[in-house]
Amino acid sequence: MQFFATQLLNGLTAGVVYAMLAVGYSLVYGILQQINFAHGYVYMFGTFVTASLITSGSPLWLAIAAGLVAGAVIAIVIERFAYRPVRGNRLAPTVTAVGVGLIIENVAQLIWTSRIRPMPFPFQADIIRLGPVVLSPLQILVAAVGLAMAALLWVISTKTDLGRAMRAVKDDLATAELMGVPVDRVVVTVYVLGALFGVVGGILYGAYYNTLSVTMGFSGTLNAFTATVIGGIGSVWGAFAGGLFLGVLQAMVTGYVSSALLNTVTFTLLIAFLLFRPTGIAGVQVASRP
Amino acid sequence: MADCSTHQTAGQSGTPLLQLDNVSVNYGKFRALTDVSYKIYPGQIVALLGGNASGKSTSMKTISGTTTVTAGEIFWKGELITREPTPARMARGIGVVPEGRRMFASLTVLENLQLGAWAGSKGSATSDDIAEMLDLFPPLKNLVNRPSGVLSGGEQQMVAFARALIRHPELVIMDEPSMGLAPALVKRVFEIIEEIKSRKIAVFIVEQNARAALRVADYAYVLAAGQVVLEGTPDVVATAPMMTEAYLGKRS
Amino acid sequence: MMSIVSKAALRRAIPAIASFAVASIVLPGLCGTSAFAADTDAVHIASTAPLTGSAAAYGIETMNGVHLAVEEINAAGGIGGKPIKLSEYDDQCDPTPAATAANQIISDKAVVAVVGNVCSSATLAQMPIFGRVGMPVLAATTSSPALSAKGFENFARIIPNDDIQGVASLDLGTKVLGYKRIAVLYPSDDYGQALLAIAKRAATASGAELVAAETYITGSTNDFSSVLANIAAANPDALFLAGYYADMGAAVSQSVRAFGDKHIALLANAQTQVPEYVSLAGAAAEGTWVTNVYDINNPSEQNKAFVAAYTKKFNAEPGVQAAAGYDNIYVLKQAIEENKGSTENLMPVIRATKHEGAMGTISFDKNGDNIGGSLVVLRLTGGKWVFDDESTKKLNAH
Repeated sequence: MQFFATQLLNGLTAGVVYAMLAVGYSLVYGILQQINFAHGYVYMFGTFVTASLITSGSPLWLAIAAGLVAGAVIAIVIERFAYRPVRGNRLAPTVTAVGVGLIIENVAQLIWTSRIRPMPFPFQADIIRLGPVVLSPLQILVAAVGLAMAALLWVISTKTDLGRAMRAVKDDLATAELMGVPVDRVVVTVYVLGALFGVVGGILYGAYYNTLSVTMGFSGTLNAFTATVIGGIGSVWGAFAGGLFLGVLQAMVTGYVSSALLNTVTFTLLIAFLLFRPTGIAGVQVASRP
Repeated sequence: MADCSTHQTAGQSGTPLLQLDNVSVNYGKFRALTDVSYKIYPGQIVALLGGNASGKSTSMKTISGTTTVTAGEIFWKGELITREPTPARMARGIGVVPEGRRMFASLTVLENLQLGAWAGSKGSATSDDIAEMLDLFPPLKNLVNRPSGVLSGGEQQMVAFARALIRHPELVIMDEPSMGLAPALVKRVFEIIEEIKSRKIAVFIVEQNARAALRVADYAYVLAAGQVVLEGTPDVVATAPMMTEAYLGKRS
Repeated sequence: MMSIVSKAALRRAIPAIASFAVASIVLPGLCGTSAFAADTDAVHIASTAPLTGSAAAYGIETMNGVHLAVEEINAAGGIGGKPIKLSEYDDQCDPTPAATAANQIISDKAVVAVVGNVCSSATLAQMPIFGRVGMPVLAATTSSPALSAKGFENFARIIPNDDIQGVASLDLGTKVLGYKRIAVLYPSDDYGQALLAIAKRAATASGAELVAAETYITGSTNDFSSVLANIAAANPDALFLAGYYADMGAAVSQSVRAFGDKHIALLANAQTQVPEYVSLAGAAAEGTWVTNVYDINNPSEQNKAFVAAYTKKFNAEPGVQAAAGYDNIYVLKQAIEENKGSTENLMPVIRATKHEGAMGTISFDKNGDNIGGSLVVLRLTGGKWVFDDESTKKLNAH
């Protein structure tokens, strides 16, 4: 029971981080039906800005703010110069995204080298005991931030003009434009929002696992992308559900089956969903829409 | 070509609200519009008639700014707006009832209306605006929190009208508003159009149902192969030999 | 002085180049690698090491050692009067770029030998390619037993393989420190699989029990919380860290939460003895045991000279990677000299070489494995790797 609780907590913690990254894919896909392959590199860059500022002694809030700003700025630049000129084209944005991603990774390598680095953060070595279960204050932080970000997304999406415009653009971009919705601005905002969620996820990741590398822009997003597909690409709530599901599944496979099967399970799941249920677990809601 | 001087006899004078001046539009090598000129005066209903692929939809896109003009100019109250992007044009006071109604299907009726008010002078819809639209379209009162995607065609058409009117535009452009509706609803659509006119809002309407359109219109243009082949007051257009034979005649 | 030699050598070489070119056109089946190289004005050596990627720190330090040796040898007149010319390739510790590098190296007909290899999986991908032209490979720190077990005739390496090292790391835990319950954390690649197999054998042989064996994917696994929970649940006395420094640093950093108050000794292999492990793992790394094939405090004349020169040039202390890279070049030099300056048929000569280097005595068995060196034990104390004389003696006594 204690072991199960420990693995469940491990899985939920990883799942929140996956969910943060997955939202970035789903927001963009939901509106533009385009997989934002540059997303992983954007969150990597923002996270590195935060990590290097922490290392160089900046106050924590400043380091986090700078990382978020960096992620937002890169998202704006990418949208303007790599995506907008080819919007509506099926293939071209994928190609430009991969190209931009490689550029970001190379720039990051020039700045921070390819070495794997720690990310100092408060509470990293602290533990809390709940009976036999050991909990980290950071796990509570991860859960709290995850909930807060989900609430934020819900408020933006349902209570604001921006959220309404985002959903309208998702339903029908051309008609939204006819209603006077500044579609370009809404699309940029969606990319920025996705980048912010990604950087938040990246900072939680760095804080909890205390290890960052510039290659996480590519390899680190495999899980996030799988979570997105499981949740139903395009559905932000599906991204949350898919992230938590994948995190817990991986922890349980590691705990009760074998750590050697981890990638096999993840890939099998990704392929199975792509083949048999491409709309993900949230697919029912999407399909019920006329 | 019909008598062009009739345009000024339609009870209007001064600067047109919207004017297309010798506009041509190319899609690649295909020329969709050739030197068309339209004038819409404040409070006037102008009908645009024509068969399939005659350039009606391209005309609408040209006005809304969703297609690029190859030659010619567009004026709003005498101001050049040829290169202005769509949202900015809409903000000047144009409402759109798009072809096929184009609901934001996952948004509720209320949210659709709020979206419609985006480009209005106030930025977003007030509760007065919403109430006004629900008074104008009473059947929507019980549907405000339904996703618009589940509504019937007639209900959706009302949402589309309300969405275009909520920001109090000076001109509403409508693309085939009666298409796909039952006869009773078609009748209702044209009643609404007259209601709109009574509020001193100009209407530019593209219609397959030429008879019904001419009944409400102050002025009409007839397109064929991307060119204006006939224009004038409804009685002039309705009685023109080419219309009675080729177009209206077949329907009567 | 050297430039005169070079010019003269070049002049002599021109007809040879011309005749070789003709020969290669007339007789394309002739393999001209060594024939051509033997007549040039330099000893061309290629290096293949990870200069970028997750193992870059290993590769860069290895190349520092290589550069130092090349510089010293060239300053002292080269090998038999010919300077060493080094061409560097980045294998990224990844089989695909490694194979690309190997193909580039064999297309350079002047190259007489390859040095610097760090990663076993990358080298395993390269060996068949080098084998096609009989290119001698004198690896630095690739340590998978599979490399020598495959019986490549053109292969030798500077450091004792994982069998020897892995057994030593386990023996330190079981025979020297007396632990009975051992857990292993290993990467899923060739290197990790090899270490796991050795750990199993060595644990059984010393009467200890392998209570947990957990794996991860290097370069992509950063979350070790679940595997660490498994390890904690197995209640081991000691954890054998059988992976790369960055991964082990991350895992040990996260172990604080997973292990809680449980004291689990950390036994690491030589790969972990880099500063990055300490900076990544933080305070949790304190007390980590390492067995290695080299220590900077080795009092031999060769090592003192090496450490002094290295520290002067790089303003940093050399580790095992640097020493292996350094000895790499000197073993090659000695072999060519024993071959009377010829670079033809070099491999049997390399394998017969007995060299007193910075690392200690280097000599090879019939598979190219170094069986001459002795092992050292170090412990991370106050953030520094401290040579443990007592444990070293005990370990070598077993």
